[in-house]
Amino acid sequence: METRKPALFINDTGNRGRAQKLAVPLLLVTAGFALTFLLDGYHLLQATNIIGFAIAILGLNLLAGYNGQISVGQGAFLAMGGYTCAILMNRLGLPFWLAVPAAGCTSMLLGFLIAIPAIRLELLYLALATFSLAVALPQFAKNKVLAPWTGGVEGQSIQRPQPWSELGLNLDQTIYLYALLTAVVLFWLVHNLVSGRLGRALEAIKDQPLAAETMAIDTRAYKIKTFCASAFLTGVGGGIGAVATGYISADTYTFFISITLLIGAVIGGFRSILGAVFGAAFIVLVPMYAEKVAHGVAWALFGAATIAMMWLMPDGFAGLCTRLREHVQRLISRSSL
Amino acid sequence: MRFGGITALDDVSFAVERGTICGLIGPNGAGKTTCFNCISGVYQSSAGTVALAGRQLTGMKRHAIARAGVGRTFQNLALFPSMTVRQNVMVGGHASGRGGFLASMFKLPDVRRSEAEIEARAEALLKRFGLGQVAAARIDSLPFPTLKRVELARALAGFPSLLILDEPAAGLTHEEVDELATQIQRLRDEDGITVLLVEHHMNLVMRISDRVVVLNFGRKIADGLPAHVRTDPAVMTAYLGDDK
Repeated sequence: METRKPALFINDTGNRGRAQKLAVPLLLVTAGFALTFLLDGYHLLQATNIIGFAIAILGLNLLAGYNGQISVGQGAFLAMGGYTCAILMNRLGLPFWLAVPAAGCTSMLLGFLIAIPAIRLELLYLALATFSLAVALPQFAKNKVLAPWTGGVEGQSIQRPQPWSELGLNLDQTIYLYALLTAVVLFWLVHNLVSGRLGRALEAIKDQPLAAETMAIDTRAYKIKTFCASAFLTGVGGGIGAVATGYISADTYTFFISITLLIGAVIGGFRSILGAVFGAAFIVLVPMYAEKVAHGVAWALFGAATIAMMWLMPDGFAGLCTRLREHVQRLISRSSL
Repeated sequence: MRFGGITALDDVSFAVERGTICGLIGPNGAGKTTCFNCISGVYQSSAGTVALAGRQLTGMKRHAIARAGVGRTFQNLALFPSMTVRQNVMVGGHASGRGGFLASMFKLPDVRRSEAEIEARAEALLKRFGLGQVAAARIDSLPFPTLKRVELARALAGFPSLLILDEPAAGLTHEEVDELATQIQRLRDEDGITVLLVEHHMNLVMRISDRVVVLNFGRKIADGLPAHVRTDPAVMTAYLGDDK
């Protein structure tokens, strides 16, 4: 019977045991938790940055990888999240752990306003519309009228939050641990979303919009909601990045950062959840080490690394993992026959 | 129904009795597919109405028409390539599921139950259409006739009360058409589903339809029992051409 099955298989439901499914996420969380006490301040800051970018990329994966809506202006939501955090903390004295979710909410509001007209656009036009948003937003931040709030051209420092010293943590550890916990919750939520009925609906919309509607899927409503969820995630990522860095300016959010996010998403694997972590690590660590190795031509090195990654794993890191796992499974099933 | 200056469907009116199979035939360009698309909401007709069990479908959104109980298959297949056979069929059960974005994110008990129901329904349909072996296979690795069965299973997963099939026999062998005929009859006899069959395959239509509607140049030229329609002079002229 086994031999009659076709060669191409993908995991859909219950092929892997619960323990096996939980192994990688658990390992990652444990390692992430251990880093709180292993890394020094500077490296912990980079780790927090990676987590912030991972959440932002998760939003992009949900939008583009699962729902097929390409956004090349995700940096706008990152900026929205960053500025919301800065303003809420500096002006209203909100604690950072409240400012970050609020950053997600304002970002989601912006996403909703953009989504209503943008949702009707075809792939390339949607890309252009989001591009315009990403280019426009930093300009607004530099605007003189808004400058008292945004810090204008010079940018502004963000008030350093209170560390959770009751838990014996210093400031860097506090922000890092908070980011880690937030990421765990958000990754879990998105995983639940995409692995169930709504996840199938989102992918159906990406694959065959007309057929999806015939399956009673309200494509317009789902696309808008996905856009909002994506904006929320990227906004939270932006908020975490801003709190960790402690400084924000319009130059942080040039169009370049949108493209960097896109690169991270592709390298991690568009249609994946945990791939976002790998993608984020790539876009934070590679430029940093490239600068050390080859001062002055760091971005050329980053470009070369990106091309090499695309060549080595065309479906991203997540795709590579899936292929390895399928290969191992095939070996096991062959040897057991 | 008009496209630019061309009237694709002109004053076509027919009723399909609940729990019967109605065949919709006609030569190429007769307006069969246009008629089909008007019913499923792909086109908005410029005049006229479509009603299901007394409920107006005209002007409703496509997903709402599907939710109202109209299922369909596609002539050239419209399966979801990034999913397995099982997942494709499960998407068909979308309407019967519960839970929005937030409920799904938190995997509330209601969402879990609904997911289990959809999966059980899909599993039963996979078995019924002989797709159990390929349930975990990706769509692009399977042959065309198998995919046609997947589409049928997917359409059924949504518990339609009216199922419209767009050329289900196209691309099938003799034996496969026989099997399809049995499957369609089962839909009527066991599931109580009303079937509207748009087909080129005359043999299939004449064999299983309770009633046949014939279109030509966007007009209805015959409507009745298969035996009557077969011998109708207008139909014979439409298919065989005018001798004069």
